[in-house]
Amino acid sequence: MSGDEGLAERFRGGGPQALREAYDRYGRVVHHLAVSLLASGADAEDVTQSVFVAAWQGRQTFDPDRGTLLGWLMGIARRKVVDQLRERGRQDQAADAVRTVMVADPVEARTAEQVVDRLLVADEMGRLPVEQRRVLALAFYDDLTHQQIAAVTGLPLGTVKSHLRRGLQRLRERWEVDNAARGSRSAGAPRTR
Amino acid sequence: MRHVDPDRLVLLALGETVPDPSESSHVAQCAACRDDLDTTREVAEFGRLTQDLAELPPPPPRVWRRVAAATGVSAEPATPYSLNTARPAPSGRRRRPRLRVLALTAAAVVAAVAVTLAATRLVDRAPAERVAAVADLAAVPAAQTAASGVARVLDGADGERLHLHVTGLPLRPGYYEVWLINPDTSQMVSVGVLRDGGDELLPLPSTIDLRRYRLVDVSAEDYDGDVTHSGRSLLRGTLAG
Repeated sequence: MSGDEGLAERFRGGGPQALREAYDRYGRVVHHLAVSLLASGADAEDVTQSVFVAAWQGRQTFDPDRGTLLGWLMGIARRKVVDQLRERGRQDQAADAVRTVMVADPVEARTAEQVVDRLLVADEMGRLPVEQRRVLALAFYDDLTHQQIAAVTGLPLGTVKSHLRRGLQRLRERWEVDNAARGSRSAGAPRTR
Repeated sequence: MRHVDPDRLVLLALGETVPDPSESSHVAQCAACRDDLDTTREVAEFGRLTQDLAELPPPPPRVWRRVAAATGVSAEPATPYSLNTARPAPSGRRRRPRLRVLALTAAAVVAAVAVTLAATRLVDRAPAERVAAVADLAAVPAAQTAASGVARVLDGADGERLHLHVTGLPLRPGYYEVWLINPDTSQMVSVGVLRDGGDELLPLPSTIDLRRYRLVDVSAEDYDGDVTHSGRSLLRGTLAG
């Protein structure tokens, strides 16, 4: 699989296939975020569309040194979702008072952040070396201990531990970089919950 | 004082082990280790939640057509790409991780079997009311608790009630609250408070749709005037009929 870096550069430079490639790679993620946060499927499609249009038109403002292409797209998507909710709020204020309250609700805001966080971590999972990814998948999804992972994979215990450590470290680095880039909270700051 | 060993820190963050006394006292005093542990734990928690993301459907084709029209770009679809290719999406329903664990490493999961047996025994002691659904409550790894339990929806003459039997919850200054969560939308409803005894019978609203609000969640709450979920879940389980 080609890395994000090559695509990010071509996207920024306006390469002919770059928009379509970015859409193929991240369209479903952006759409998932929109669907998760908006009540209407039509609104979610509108947001997905406007994210890619805005990203393409503003591609020169994307700085690969500050974060990944996906992190940048997610930042745009969050703003578009908020715009869409505000727009809906204006359209039928009385009927939608409830929704306006929901948007201001910290639980809702946290949910949005968590959806983004999950998607970023999932994307980075997909980029880990195969063996590292497999070890992490066994720990995350099957809840196996490192001894069990060693038994299942036949890898030495030390290797399993180092895969866990390095894999988690990489997920964490990516998450912190993209968090800092989208300015939602400072990476590594004390958790508020 | 020595910092927590990096390999140990990973196991602590994954909830695979609990800190020994010297680690606990170090982490309590060392902001760097505490932050390291909290952040790694949080990332691991997101990692656990990525399993379903391999199956994300693409947006409808019309979305791309509108993007292409608005930008003047028209390109054919490139090669398909999916998130998290470690797990190709299985066809059909999701597999049960616990069963797989048993199949793979039977000897290593005696503890899990014990938990399952304990839960089964509790279910066996059902009262006269009909049990409409059951959820085995397992500790959320990040909570690092040895607690476990079972939740049952009892269908009686005067409506549905949620019976909880929970053991091993630590004593703490706040209280435990029981929620039903719709995992598709993350919306949640508080159904009451779980007292110290660990056995509770809570009335359910007659209008609730338990096919949607199917995730039972026990959270640790503080007396802070905030009625929303604290974000600190200890136990979770999905109701199945």
